[in-house]
Amino acid sequence: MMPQAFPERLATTSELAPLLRPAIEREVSEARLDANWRAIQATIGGLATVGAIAGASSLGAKSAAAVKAATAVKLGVAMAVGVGASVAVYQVVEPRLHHAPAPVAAPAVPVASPAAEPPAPTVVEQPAAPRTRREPTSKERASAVAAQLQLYRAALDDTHAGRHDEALKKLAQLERRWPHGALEAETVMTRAEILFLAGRDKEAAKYVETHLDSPIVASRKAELWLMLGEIRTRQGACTDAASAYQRALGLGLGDKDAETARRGLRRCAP
Amino acid sequence: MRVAVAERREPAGLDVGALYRAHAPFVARCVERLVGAGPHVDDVLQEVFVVAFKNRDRFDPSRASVTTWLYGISANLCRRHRRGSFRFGRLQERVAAEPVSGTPMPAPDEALEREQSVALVYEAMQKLPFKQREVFALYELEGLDGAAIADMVGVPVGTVWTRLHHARQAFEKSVRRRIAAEGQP
Repeated sequence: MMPQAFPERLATTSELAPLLRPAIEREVSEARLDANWRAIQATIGGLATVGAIAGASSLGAKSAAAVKAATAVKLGVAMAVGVGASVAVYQVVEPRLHHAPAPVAAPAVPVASPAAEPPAPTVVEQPAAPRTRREPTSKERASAVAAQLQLYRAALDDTHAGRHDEALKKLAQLERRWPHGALEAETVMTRAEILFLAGRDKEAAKYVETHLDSPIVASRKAELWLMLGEIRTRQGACTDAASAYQRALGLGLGDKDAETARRGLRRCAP
Repeated sequence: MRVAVAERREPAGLDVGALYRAHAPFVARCVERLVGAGPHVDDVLQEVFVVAFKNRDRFDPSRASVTTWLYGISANLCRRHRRGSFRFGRLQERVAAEPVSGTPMPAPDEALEREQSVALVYEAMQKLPFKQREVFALYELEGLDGAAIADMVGVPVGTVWTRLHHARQAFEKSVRRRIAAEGQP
């Protein structure tokens, strides 16, 4: 059969219409679009900040040198690198004052005396090192990520070995040492899973519910709803579980997770 | 059939917020159809608008509509996209294996059936080569006509019909095989 222009659409055929219609009518929910918009705003806000800093340095270039120059005019820049994210997010932090004010009376450069004898050396009070936050070098960032991964892997090993409390302690340590580290979202997800695996359903449900609107896990919301569905199922609250599974499916799950959610819905069926 | 593409030309100096409000549903649908459903759709959707923001000065309304431009960015990102997350352990699988208790409730049959249909369609679409998949998605699911698709994809209309022809054959074959193996979706 030869290719045909303007073929009849499959959705108008009696055989495939029932199959295709749900895919045609499927829309991404408003809530999901809003969450994505917040994430986009955070990213482009950061990009705009970097641009502004580069502009303030009068070099007009978005280079590391420009950022460092901007730091010298009392702007602190903290850089957070997310593994898996392709765009670095920059966050402006409060400018901090130097330890001690710069000396007023003593000139920074001694003025040459018209007299023949050399001028007495002028003691210049050195200002204390600025307490602005330094941008980490790429080596430091890589090393920090490696350390986070190591701790995270150790927590996973503990979980697989059934040492849930140890695993939770390691995750707490991870959160304490790197509050906004590369594995921040992963830590939240894993903590919820471990609480559930440890049979601490009430705690797990509360933890998941408090993080449902958290921007940290905005892109993992569907997985959180799925987890809540599993928790509610085990608690015997099938109505809540079915609702959670449906929310998860509505937000979009990967193939395996979607199958889990569908299985969950089936289990709640009579 | 929904026609999502507004062919109006928009002024230069794009406001990404307005762009998002107007086009995010269309972009999200396209991304989901091209890479399959899942949380990765959010990642790609966000990246599309970040890329649009970065390149907003390069957008030339005399050359393409905003929709075509956004679709081009989406298709490039989807083509590059490889599924797979950063997770080390799939604890979720163990979670799913936990025993079930509790009072049964009436099944939300309709929602389940719809989800199964969508999953079957996406699964069959994922087996198509990317060039066929995008034409199939835009014609069969988005309801666009050949000329609009040719404009968005950047190929002659004849090529659109050829790709669609092969895509439909492969799609129908794949779906029929699945239905025969499992019964009606």
